Amino acid sequence: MMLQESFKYTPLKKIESLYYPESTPHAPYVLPHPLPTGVHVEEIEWQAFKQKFAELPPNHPALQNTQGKAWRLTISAAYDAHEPLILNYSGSMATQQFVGIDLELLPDSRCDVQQTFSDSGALNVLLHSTIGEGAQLSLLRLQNMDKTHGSMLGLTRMTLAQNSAAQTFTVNSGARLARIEDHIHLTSPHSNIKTTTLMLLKERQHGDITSVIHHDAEQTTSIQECRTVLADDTTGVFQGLIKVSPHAQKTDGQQMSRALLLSPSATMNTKPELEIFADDVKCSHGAAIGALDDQMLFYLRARGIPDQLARQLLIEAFICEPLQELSQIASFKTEKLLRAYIESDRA
Amino acid sequence: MIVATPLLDLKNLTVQLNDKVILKGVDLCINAGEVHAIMGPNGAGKSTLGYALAGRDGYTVTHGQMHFKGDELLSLTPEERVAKGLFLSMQYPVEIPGVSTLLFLRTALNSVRKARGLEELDAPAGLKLIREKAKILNIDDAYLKRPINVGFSGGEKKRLEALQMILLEPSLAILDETDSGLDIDALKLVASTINGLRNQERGLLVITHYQRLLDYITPDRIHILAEGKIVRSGAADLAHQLEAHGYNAVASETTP
Repeated sequence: MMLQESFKYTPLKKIESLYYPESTPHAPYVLPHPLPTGVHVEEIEWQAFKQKFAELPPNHPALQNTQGKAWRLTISAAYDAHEPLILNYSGSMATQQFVGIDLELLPDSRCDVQQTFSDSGALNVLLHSTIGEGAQLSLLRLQNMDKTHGSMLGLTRMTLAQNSAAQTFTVNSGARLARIEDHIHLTSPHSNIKTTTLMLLKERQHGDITSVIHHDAEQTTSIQECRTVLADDTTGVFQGLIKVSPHAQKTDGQQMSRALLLSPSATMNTKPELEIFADDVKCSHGAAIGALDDQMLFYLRARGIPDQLARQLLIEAFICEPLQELSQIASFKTEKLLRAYIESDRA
Repeated sequence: MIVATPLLDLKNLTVQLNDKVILKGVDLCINAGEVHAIMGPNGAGKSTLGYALAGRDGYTVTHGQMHFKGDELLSLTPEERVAKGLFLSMQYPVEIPGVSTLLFLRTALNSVRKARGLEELDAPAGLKLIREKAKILNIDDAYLKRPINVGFSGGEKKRLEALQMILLEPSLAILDETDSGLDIDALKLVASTINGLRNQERGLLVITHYQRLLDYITPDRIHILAEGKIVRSGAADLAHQLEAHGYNAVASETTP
């Protein structure tokens, strides 16, 4: 993938303008403490960790650094998590940090990981994940950095083995600029991925969701859903590429992006792409961009509901529908973020 | 002599939609306690009248006045008109995915109560009231959990409109084609619910194509709307003449 092409709607110059001098990162704060038996963490060498992203252009902005730190998190075979592993990342004022996690799920393990990103500064978060045979990962990501002084680049590479599954739920609602870029490799039969993303933007925020899903084996499934709400002078980007290799017959790839524009000066850029080299596959993509529905709004107001409350109800309906997928704990945390957005004056 | 203020007083009401003049000077006066019906062929402007009264965007009043309880409606938002006592039951109720019917009903009820200076109902009290009223219309609890109008049949949607009406207790209810989509049993049920609302303070404006609904809700006055004007008004039996002879024949006779 050409770097310039991939950063067409989130210009590298714009990212650079938010850069700060690099500082040595601190480890993400991990909960519970102490870690449960079956979860192991150790620091690993940064340069070797970076090699795991070698297929990406070396000048990718999330890989431009000298002082990164990385940790390996191993989930032992057949481990079955009762409570989520929580990784809290916080940026620090006027500095730039590079933090990496190498998350390995050994065969038949089940793990629930929650990542939160907060505070100001520039945060570059790399996640490399291998999901072993029959393993299941549930990944919740809540990005709620400072809207004026925070920026975030997230770069993820995930590989799924036979009969494994990953489900991700991402809320991208903070930071002046945030790009979450996922590269998913379905390398063995019967592996599947489901991603749900909510982008909630206001003021002058720029949010970018970019994903490349590689179907590299027979009978693999991917389902992607992205919902974006844009208020004020915001810019949203959704780029989704589904690649189906010649031998990846019986692939099922579905992708949908919906964007709700609340302001005439908000911009949404949507780029769905399919590259299919196998002949027996089912792939679909859809993109919809629109304002709040006038008929719905009038119907609510004609029942006495004031204009602003009616708008909130409709925005809530748009973004809360995918929440039903989440566990109770995860949805409690997520809802707090969503409510803050819905009830703010601008939305 | 004390002359009561009419509930609704329209004078020379002229309304256009996208530069097209739809209503061309409608005069209509409804007093408290009265039931009026508006009949007319397709495209006569019946629904436009309902939308203009409810304050829908795009329905521009270019001339005339619409007084409701003595005040001009024009400067009021749709929600302010509802708080003041106007209710429009729509011909095509809108489906809203993602918003539960119960949440919608409770929000509407409390918005209107608040605007009328009444105390808002807490969740259990609101639920109790909504369930009570829903029972009158044979609306099952399961429907209340579903998103607004999503997957409802035509008749179910109309029953839900009637539920909203009795919850919001309007002084003037405008019923736009409330009978369409209803089977005979549902029609009787909805009609008896509407009749249950009738009293000395309330008025009804029934918009319909057919006399069917008027067999159950007897109007005091019937008006024929054709090409944006009321061309004839009369007593309840006018509906039967229309049914027998058609709009063209009846509309061309002069008002007695």
